[in-house]
Amino acid sequence: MVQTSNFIDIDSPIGLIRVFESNGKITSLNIAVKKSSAKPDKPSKVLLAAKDQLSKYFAGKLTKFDLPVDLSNGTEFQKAVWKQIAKIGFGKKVSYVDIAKAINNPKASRAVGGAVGSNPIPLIVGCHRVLGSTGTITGYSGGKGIPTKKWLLKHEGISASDV
Amino acid sequence: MSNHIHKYDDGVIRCRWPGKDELYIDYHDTEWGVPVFGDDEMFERIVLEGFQAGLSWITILKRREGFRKAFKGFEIAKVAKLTDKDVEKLMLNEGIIRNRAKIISTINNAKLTLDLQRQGISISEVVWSFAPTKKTSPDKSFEWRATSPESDAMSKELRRLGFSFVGSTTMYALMQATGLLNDHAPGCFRRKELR
Repeated sequence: MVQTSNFIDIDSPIGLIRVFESNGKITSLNIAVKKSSAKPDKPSKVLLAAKDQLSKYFAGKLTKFDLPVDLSNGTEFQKAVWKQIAKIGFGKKVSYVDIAKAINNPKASRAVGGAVGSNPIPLIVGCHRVLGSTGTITGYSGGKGIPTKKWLLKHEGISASDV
Repeated sequence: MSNHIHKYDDGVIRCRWPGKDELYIDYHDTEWGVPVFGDDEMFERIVLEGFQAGLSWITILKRREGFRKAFKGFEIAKVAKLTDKDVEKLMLNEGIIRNRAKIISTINNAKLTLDLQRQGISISEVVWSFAPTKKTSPDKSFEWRATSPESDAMSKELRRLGFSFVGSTTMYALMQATGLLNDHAPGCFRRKELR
């Protein structure tokens, strides 16, 4: 994947967040990145909007993001899963099985897990809201992994159990 | 209990966002969503929301008095008179957020507001003209959103008039704060009181 040239860094309680954009759409988001010495170009409108909305999210004053996202960079299966995750509201949780059912592929929960893990825009596409079918935290690929996911779940008041 | 509300240590159910900070809780209980009229009052809130952009609200709230002192109690006519020299002084004022673009924008917005007043147009009325027809959104699938068609329109109009730091997200926050909307979460005691 070609990395976009335009990004913005945002301080957050879960570490420095870097958001990338291309052609006016957000293409990826990385959690707990190291500060870059490279000076990014003047942030575009969409990146400033992302910064504003993410800071409001962390302050608990925003529960629904309104940002253009580009999720076209994936297999049909991944795209279907990401689209489904994007529908989960703040403070709600769903299981891998739920998603597999929702995309009419009820036996694919393991593959769903893989697709969830490769979500390029965590937080905005809220894959932290996907849990095991008994409410267990099975993994998280963003930031510091499970501690980051736990922070996000607590922030949204979602109860989950440890593995 | 919905994830937008929380039962606090004092036993009161409120919106979740104030957290543990007394100052923030007090702001939630007494100010957020209470209708604001009067041009100086509305101007103050436009300025504070503009300064908030990209920061957390608590950083603004903690400097509220500092802002009031620095910007002449938000008397529009007085803010409009601030000069380049005042900007340099404000850049050294630890009581506010020292962001040059935002400070200059505040003075410029005051000048524009004053011009409007001279034409018989009240900034408060301009803002209120964008109030949605339904003040309280339905309880079902309640969310705190970033923008709305009304905030988009308000942002566009203020930009057209020359104002800056008035993006749609900022205007949506203004609408929530100044009572154009009742965006207290279902279950919060203030939602009923402000309905």
